[in-house]
Amino acid sequence: MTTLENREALRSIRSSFEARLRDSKKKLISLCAGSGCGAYGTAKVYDTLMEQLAEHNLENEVEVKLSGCHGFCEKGPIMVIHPEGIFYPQLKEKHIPDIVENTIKNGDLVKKLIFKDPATKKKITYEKDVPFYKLQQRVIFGNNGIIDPTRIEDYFSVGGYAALEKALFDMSPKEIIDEVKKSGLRGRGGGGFPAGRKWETCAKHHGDRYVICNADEGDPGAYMDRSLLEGNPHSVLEGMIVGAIAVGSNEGYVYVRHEYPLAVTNFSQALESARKYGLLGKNILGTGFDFDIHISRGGGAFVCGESTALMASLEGKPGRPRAKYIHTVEKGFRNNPSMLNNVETWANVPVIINKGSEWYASIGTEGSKGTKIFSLVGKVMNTGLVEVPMGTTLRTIIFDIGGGILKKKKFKAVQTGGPSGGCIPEEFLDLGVDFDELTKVGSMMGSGGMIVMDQDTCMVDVARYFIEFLQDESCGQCNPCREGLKQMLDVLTRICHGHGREGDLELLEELSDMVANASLCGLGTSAPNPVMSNIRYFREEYETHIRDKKCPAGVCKPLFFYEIDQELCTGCTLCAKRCPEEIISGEQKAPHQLEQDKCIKCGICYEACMFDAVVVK
Amino acid sequence: MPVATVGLCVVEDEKTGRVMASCVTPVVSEMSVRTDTPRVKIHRKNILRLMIAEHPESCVVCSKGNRCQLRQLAAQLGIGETHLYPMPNYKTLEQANPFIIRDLSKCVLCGKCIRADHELVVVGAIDYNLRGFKSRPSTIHDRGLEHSSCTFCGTCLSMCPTGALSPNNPGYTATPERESFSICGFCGVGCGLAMGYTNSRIVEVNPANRPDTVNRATLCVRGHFAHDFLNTHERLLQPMIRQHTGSDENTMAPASWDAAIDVVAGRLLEIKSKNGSQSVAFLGSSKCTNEENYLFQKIARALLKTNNVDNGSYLSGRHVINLLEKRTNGLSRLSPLDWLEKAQAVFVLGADPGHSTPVVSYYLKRASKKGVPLVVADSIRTDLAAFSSAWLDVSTQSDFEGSYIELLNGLAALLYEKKAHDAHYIKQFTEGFKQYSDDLSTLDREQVSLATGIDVGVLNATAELLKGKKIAFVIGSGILQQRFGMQTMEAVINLSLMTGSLGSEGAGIHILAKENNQVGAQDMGAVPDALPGRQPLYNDSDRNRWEQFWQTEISPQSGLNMIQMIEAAEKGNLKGLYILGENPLRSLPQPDRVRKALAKLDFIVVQDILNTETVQIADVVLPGAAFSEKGGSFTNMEGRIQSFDPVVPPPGDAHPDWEILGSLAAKLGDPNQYASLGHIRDEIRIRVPMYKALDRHNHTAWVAVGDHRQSDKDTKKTKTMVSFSPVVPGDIDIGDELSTTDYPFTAIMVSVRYHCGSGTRTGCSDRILKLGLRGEIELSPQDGETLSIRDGDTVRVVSSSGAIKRQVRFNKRLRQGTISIPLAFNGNDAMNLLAMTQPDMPDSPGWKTCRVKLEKI
Repeated sequence: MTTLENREALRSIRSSFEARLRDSKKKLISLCAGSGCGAYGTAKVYDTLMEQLAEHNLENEVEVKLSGCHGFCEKGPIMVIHPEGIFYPQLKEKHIPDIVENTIKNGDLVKKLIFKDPATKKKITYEKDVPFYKLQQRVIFGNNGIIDPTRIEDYFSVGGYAALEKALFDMSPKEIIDEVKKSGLRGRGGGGFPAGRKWETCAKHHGDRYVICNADEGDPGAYMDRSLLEGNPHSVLEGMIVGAIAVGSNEGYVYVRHEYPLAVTNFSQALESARKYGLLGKNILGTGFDFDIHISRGGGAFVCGESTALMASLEGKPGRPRAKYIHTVEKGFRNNPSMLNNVETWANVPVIINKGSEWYASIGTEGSKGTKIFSLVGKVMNTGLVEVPMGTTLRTIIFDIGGGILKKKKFKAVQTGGPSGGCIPEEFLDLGVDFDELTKVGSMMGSGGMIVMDQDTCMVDVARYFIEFLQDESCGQCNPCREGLKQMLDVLTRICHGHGREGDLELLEELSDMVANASLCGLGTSAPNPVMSNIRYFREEYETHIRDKKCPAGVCKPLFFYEIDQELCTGCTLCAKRCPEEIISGEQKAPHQLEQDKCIKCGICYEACMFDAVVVK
Repeated sequence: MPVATVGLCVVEDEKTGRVMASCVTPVVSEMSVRTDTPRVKIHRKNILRLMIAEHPESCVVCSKGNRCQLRQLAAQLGIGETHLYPMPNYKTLEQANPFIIRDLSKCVLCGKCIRADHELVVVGAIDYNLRGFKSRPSTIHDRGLEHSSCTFCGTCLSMCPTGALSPNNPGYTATPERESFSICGFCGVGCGLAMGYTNSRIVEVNPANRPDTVNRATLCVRGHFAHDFLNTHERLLQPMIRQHTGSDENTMAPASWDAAIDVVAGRLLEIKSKNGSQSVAFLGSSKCTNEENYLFQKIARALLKTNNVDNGSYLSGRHVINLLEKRTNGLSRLSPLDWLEKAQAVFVLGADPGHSTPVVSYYLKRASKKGVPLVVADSIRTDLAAFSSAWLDVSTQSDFEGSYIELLNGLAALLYEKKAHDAHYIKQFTEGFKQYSDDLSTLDREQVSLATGIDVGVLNATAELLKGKKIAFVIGSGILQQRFGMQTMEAVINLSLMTGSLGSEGAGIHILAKENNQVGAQDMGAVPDALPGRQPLYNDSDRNRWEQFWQTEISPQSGLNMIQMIEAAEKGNLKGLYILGENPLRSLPQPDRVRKALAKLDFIVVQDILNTETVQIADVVLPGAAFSEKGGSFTNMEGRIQSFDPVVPPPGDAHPDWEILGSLAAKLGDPNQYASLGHIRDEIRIRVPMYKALDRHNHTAWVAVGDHRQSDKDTKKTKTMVSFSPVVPGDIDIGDELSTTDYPFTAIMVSVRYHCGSGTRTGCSDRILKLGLRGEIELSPQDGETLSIRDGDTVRVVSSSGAIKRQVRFNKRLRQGTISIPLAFNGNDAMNLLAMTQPDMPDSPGWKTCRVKLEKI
């Protein structure tokens, strides 16, 4: 590895790696080593694969790559065999000999491992035909599955650091900022503030400017930033360097959650190799421009994702926000102009510089340009990371890409924008998802979390869950948020326990209004969203809880009981076998009975019954 | 900078309708906010409802009572029932320390205590712990305050809006009936106090929190909690006269004021007429008011015709201060502490204000936080070292006290080399720079480094730090009481002149005063060699004016100073001694020798407030009043004259001291009748030009500076030239130094923040005593190992003058060969180690250090 001293050196090294990727005759096995697949057991699969290849003396014929997250986490561990693009999901060690024997050696498919689309039940051989991928537009996320995140050379091979080259040699800082402005890129961290405007203001203020990457992804269920840092760290790094050139900064920070060890490892390695190639550090590519990045690990406080709290934490202080009448682009980290963007925003930057703002702005809607990665989770068939153009409808995301609701149950709502987002009911399924539309219906984009809920979800319980999370994560500095959320949680908990009283809904609304208006930072002002949107769309469900002391979804245990419908019950005995308390009795092929007073409402019989005979009352 | 915490200050923007916390919203042009819209009112009410829902329902038994701001606000907003679900937030009550009770169940998370800790007193003992609803102020690892770095200054306590922090006051648990303003009587900072009292008894003390006070919202542990001594049973309640009944038996018997004054006046006049006016002496008090000191020295000079007047300030390096006064023509008299925060650079020499004058340390730490470079030179690593830009660990070799001189000269030489002297200033205001700079050029910096024990690199970096800046100096007892105090002060003045500092705002020479009115006592002429207004006796015109006014003759010869009085008593030349508010048996070295000397006197009268060691040997005891029980004025270390009124009447039959002195003066034949305090104050104002600003109505006035012709703070206007003094080498021959083999350790006498001076008063404070401090000597662990002494062992410390027993505590920051001995413990027994010498005499080893050996017991 040699330091690249000028533009030509960078170009030649990049084209050499690009050529190597293009001209390779070898088979390439890409095995997803993202956190999702990793949890399913990629490491064991990999070990077996290497053993098997060695056994068949194929080590030199085949290249194996541990890639970043492919996005289809539901079906991990995932393997894709190039150049054909054969797609094998949900692999176990025992499947490997078959794959090596048949597919690698003989070029045959292993039929039983081929992906079966759960929606259509059709077998799909190639990755590109999988509906989950087919409907996505993977501008930012696309390279994740191709490259080994620990090798900068892989990043070169997909045209890496071309944006940096362009920004350094062909563009003035002002032109970079203009390009970002024209692209219409809005911050992907939640607020959706126009990035170009942020950059422009930061460049105007004097002081030691800092470039900061917010990788404190704290929304439950959201992990797109994690996957980007783990799977394609150089794209984020390149974005940050371009940002530094644009505003004239010599020092950057990445504030990353301590809970993301792989992200820290991969990004640290990216920094190191970029330094070795002279893409980071003193005198980058011989231009005299100095810029380096430090990694700072957060302690896991949700509020540290708020820009001022993040900067306080970076300074070594308790992570508490301050009022933002003076913006951080003017006085932020160490009281200096600081440009903070989140991981995904930074990863968008090289794309914009490479392909131009015009191309970028052609994707998306009027007010929201480009693509957005969503983490699609909950009661949906295909969970995973989904990258679609802004404006794609909820229906497309949930039903076409996501494959619809699990077990054919009924869709009830989708919660977007993380814990402080709102729940969107069925009537808005055809809403084109972008920053403004989501806000209009009382939710928000947030960092792109999307939790799908089915008919068995109690909306009061959902609100209670999110408020519990938020009150736990409130920094505790300002009383509206600290005490307001606690009181709201108490009210919701009482409703869920059947102790709700008349006036509670009005109290919730009043408190929500106060917390949203009088809180100091974004955490507080957005915290009542789940309650407010919930009451707005599901008021009846709340009233049933309070007045009738009933939970129609069968979630709030004190407010429902299970009953076996004597007409529907076929006497299959499944429920009786599964009941942990052994309180379901009955003859075979005759309707069963359930002893109410001993029931712990675990819901196992309800889930088990194939005839919908166990009903919630 | 305010931080938004509580959220009750919400207002509504008229244009946008946005609700904002007004405390953190900057005003912009065209802005228009409404403070009382229905929306804002509802929010405010809801926030308060929530706060009350979290608050325990214990108002009835809470000692905060109606002073609780939460309760006040609830009343204001009309909130009785909250109609919310209660959210009690229980925390364990913490009351292990004798000063502050923490009941954080009542905390409203306003953050004031944390901000007081961080921003005002800069200690860092507490910060937020946990998040969200559970969030609370806490020490590190959530341990008790007594296990943290808390200094118990109580600033947080005075700020707490609810009963979350309350004083641990076993004697009184309710709200004080009333509160009155006074000035603290402990150290020379002169903090403004709000003294709470019930039934003529002081039950609580808080900072006055007024903008015209030196301390504003802060205070120290003494000011806050040590005033317990005011209510001690050791208070003197009535005049007493010693009855000589039979052979050796004698007892003290209560007497009426008339009788007591009669005896005092009669005996003093008798001794004077029998043995001459040199046979009586007056030992005044640096704790008493200006008015009392004025009257006291007038009684001595005008009525008993003697210059034998002195006060406790003699012990705190008055000769060094006199030198500064003389060399700068009084330019340095004014040194407001808020200059420190505006300084370009601050140089702290031999001072540990964190213990001796805590409020000064707050100023210094705040200055440091604001970015003012702080250079700290000391032989013990003080709290300030952590805040310093340069920490100069001055060597503690046997002749180390000279190394301060070497250090200052060395720095001056380096600055001169860097051409960092202020040539314009030097030309305009000074003389003798040529000689001085020539001397500097000959200094060998390796030698400086060797003598000071400070690396050349560090010296250079320090000079770099000070380069081109005007320097404020903070001088403590490490300079004032040491052997070469005068020479060191000369070096300080030289450095101040060379950098163009002296006389500029923000570049004063701040002398830490350990006693509340040591400056005023000197100003009032309670000294053997000067008249009121610091007018030297030898100055004929000044003396004549006073002679005319008092219609008496005053000798131009200086009288006896404190030590000379003891020596004269020893020799039998002194027959009568009037002691006002001093406790020489505790505050002077070699107390046994002092006791023997005083026993030889024919007559001792002691006027005091407490039953001290000295009171017990008196022939007549006159019970005086503590500062809170009388009116008057104190002059603090800044030159700020602060007047105050009595808060409560004196206890029992005690009288304000000025009244006692007034009656005595009348008895002794003074034609002036001092029937009121105003009378004395008028006289001072008219007759003492330095105090022309003293006024009946002014709480705060400033002493006039320079040659008493002007009073404004712009001291540069004075046209008098100030001279450089010749460079004195630090390796002064000290002659008969004790052998380092016999006495291998240098003992440094240090103050602790829980005691003031010799501890006469603080030693009577219940809560200070409850803290159970043992006053361990500190020793480096290496020295401990050599002597096989373990941490916690008891040792005998022996000097050539005496010995004491103390426990040992290891301090790894001490240099080997150095030990520190805290003053004011065990009846201030550390004074046994010091030799009674006159600190202003060239052969005196000073009072700051002595050579000792340690013997394991």
